Amino acid sequence: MSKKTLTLMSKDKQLFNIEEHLAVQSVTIRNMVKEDGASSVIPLPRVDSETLALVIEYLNRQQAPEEDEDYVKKFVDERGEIPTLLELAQAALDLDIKKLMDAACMKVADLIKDFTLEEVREALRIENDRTPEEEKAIRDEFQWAF
Amino acid sequence: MSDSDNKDVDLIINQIVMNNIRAMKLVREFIENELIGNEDIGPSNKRPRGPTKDRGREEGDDKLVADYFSDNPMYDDGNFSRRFRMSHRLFLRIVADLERELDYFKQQWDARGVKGFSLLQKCVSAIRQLAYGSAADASDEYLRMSETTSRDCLENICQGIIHLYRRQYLRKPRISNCYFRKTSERVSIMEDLPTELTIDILLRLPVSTIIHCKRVCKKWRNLVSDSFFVNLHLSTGLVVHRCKHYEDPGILEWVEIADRHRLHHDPFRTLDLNLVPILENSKVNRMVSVNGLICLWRISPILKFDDVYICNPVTREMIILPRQQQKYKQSGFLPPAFYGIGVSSLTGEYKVVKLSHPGVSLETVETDVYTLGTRQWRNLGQVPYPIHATSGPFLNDHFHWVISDNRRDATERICSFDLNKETFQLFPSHSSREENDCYIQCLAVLKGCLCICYGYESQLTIWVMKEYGIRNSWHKEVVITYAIIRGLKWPCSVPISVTEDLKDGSILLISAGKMWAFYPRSGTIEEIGMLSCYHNVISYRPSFLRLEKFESEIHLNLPMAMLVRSSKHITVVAKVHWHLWYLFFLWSYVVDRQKVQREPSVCLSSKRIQKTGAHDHLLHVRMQQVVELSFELSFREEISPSPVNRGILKWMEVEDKIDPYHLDHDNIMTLDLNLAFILLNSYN
Repeated sequence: MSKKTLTLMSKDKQLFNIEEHLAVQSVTIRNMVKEDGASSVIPLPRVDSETLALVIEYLNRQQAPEEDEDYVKKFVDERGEIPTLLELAQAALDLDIKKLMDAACMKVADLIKDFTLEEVREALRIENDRTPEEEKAIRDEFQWAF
Repeated sequence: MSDSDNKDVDLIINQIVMNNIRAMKLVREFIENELIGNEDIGPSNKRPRGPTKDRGREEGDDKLVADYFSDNPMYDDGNFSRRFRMSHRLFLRIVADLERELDYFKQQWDARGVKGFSLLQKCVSAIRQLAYGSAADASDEYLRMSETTSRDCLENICQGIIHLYRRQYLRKPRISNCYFRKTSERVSIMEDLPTELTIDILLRLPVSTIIHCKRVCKKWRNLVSDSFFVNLHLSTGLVVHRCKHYEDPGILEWVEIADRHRLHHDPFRTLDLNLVPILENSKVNRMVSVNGLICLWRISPILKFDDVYICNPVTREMIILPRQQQKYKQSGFLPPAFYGIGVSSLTGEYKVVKLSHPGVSLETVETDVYTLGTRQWRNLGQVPYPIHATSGPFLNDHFHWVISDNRRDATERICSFDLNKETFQLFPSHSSREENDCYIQCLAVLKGCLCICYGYESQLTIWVMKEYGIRNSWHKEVVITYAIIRGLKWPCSVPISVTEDLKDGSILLISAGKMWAFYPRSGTIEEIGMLSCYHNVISYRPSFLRLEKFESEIHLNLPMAMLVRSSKHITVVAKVHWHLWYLFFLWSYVVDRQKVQREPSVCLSSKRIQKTGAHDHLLHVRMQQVVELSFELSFREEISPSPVNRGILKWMEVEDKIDPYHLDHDNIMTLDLNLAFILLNSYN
């Protein structure tokens, strides 16, 4: 039996091919394949093509099970930028690939662990919506940590 | 000077005199002419050194301190910013960093014992040259510093700043620093992120970072609620209770188990019980923990009652439970009571269960229950099963104990206490008979399941109940033969107090003052930490649960043990009561990504100084040796009250408690308070 190929479509309508037995590492895809045989293209409306390419690179890995952990770690380490990692994590969440999501979240946590407050805001591009009074309240609450 | 060095110097200068282009030009010219020009000349062309003038550095220093760095400086911050082109605070921060990192900036003495230029003189000289672009000898008359030395200072400060701040402030912007990376419509990447993903990331952070994160935005603050950790058991750790001797209340230290080879120590995560006045000179005996709360108790055989404390080290809160008078008058030693703390999943009530022996005999055990917030102990009478009064592990709303019945035909070997119904019942134990020959049996919680450890002469077996309350799910999980522990006698007579699973599936065993990690996959065991016999370890999961909500309880004031945090350095301030003095200790920790080391520095302040109020009177001392955080310090002070000269503090390290009037004067160390005070301003 020849290997079946699935086609995934990213947010910006780019198509990616992947062999079915690799794609079913994603629980979401597995369920879709089970339901309708996935004859048509699988649309992934929240994943852009750059991220999807990464996910497919990950799914295509040819690693022995015992080296897998190290591979995942290395895989996210090489993509040490927070925006990429977050998108990767989000894609992994949508596609339900637990290992990849765990590794990406861990990496993000590792990166922002030593950041100051402003650096966290900057890295994650969060607007500061707190008034100075509110900030002071938290500071007072946990004085020992500041 | 190489090209890259030149670039770095430029960068520094840009940073410092950003707002003054003219000055910048002058400085650059100056550096090019002076520094680089000098190097070309080479040592052979040097003029012979003239006779050294005694410029009176110390007076220069005094004047400088009085002008800018004393409590009542002649020139205020406005003057300072104009003349130094940076704020007073920034300057002191740079100064403190330089002193810590570079030997050049440390106070030195020459062969005659005369003090060299002070740190401030060196820094002021260099910054002034940069700020005004003046010649190296322009401030000779003021700072009492020769041209060559000034130039040295400038060079050293430039290199120092490159060394210190290259990574943080002098680096190129990273891609992640660029506001718009891919598409311009994407402004906040966190906004689109699903909440579960945010939580997933936050959960992986250390507690202290999570507290910072509460300040990031409103969404995050709402995410990090009181019960944040309670229901999401990702953050596994231990609490180590370290005591130095029998009467020491000790220090609670929470340790995160990062991976198999290291326990992550973090100075943030300590709670010094010495700081609690009520615990002074008393021993905290035992502790148990649930949902981030730690229940500690102290046995006072003489007083006939126990003091029970509940604290949350994350929120720095502590309450003391009402004392319960012993009902039975006893003479002599009373068998100690044991406590357990649990939370009801139905009502959310926190309850403390006390097991005690009403008589001297260990045969009968009585139970009392205390619900947090009620201020009332309730007696539940005798336990219907023969158990030893211990702190049974808490799981699924139940406490569990091993039944100490020696009859071979006894079928049930475990009993449990239901926290909701407040009743005891038998609990399904496994039917294996082999446990009859074992020396010890103890219950614990492993991987969220109840487990029982049997210690035999040659091995230790751990049975795990895979499904709670199902008899058939008992399963022999681990067998550890003592032969794999090389060179160590397995203390089969001492119970194993904790078994906790690590992330890689290894099992942590604590027994007889040692901690081991056992790796079931490879069948190996490794000692991972030394504890002393006064140490006590329990597993612990931090939470933000506030004790505040138990309004009726008596709340104790936990003093701060932590003051300052910069990105890399942490300064700890703790108050320790010693004889008639309050000593303020200040430890500096250097936090590396991997480990935390205590810097050999200590800070002292006497009670008299403390009365004036603020923490900025703490003194910063650099010592040759690491001083243990204990009472092993003795000092005398000689402080003259002049605003300029603060005198010298003298102290010495002593081995044990000694008579302070008979000190070995050879070991006395001294501290120049003038310098210390200035440095401390930088911590404000």
